[in-house]
Amino acid sequence: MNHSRRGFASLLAVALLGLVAVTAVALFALASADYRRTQYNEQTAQLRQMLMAGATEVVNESKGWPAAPQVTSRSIALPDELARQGGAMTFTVLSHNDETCEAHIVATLGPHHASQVLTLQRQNEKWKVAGAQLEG
Amino acid sequence: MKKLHSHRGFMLIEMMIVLSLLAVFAVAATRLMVLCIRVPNQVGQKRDQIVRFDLAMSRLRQDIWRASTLRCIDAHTLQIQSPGDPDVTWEARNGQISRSAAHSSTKEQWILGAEISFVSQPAGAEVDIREPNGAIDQTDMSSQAMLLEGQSK
Repeated sequence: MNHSRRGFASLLAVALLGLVAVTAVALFALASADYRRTQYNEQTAQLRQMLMAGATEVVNESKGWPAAPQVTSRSIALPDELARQGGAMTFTVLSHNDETCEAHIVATLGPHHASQVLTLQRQNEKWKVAGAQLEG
Repeated sequence: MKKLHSHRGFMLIEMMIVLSLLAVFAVAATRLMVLCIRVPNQVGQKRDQIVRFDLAMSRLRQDIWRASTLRCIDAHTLQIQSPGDPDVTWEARNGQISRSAAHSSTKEQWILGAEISFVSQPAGAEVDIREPNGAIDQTDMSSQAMLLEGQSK
């Protein structure tokens, strides 16, 4: 009688320990996923800031572009802090015709990257941003 | 008399202490067990909710990014116009958010479990997220075209 009671108690204790272990694993998985998500959101927010800076650079540079600008690609200088984190930004100008061209801006930060396509239209001999499409 | 003393039973106070300790342990063990059964299920639901929320916000951010005009019809309805694309309307009601494009019969919908409201801003929109526990989060989403327009002025 005593032996069977001890067996039941042990079984119950092991089952409870198992349940607690499963719960702990689930909570740990949620916490680690939350941590990764926070880090990812931080990086993507930084990437969007870089894309905005890149767009400003393209708009400033477009003031000197002629109609139907040549297809060019160049990198944009970043602050030292971003460069140390593996940051890089490039833009490529793709000309469609005398009145429309596209600038493809790519920002990279460590393993993550984001890009946008700026559509520029020529009005009164000046290039103006007509649209922006965020990618990735 | 001596024999009686050596075989005395438990005192009432001892029994009450033991019983109350047992009761406390039983309550704690039951609560722990119920919690342990519930939590893994809740974790799964929470993760699904996070994925839905991120998807919806990513879609909304893309729409606002390319917007040339933004209009908050009311606190829960945002209308977005962008060149070359059909107008898009975002509606947030009863813990759900939906996106519908003009001239399209399809409507994308996400159940978020949080109340969303929109506030128009000079170069984008502020998205206010009210959690069921009352906590409020604010996210600013910028329109690239509107930002550049503001800079060139």
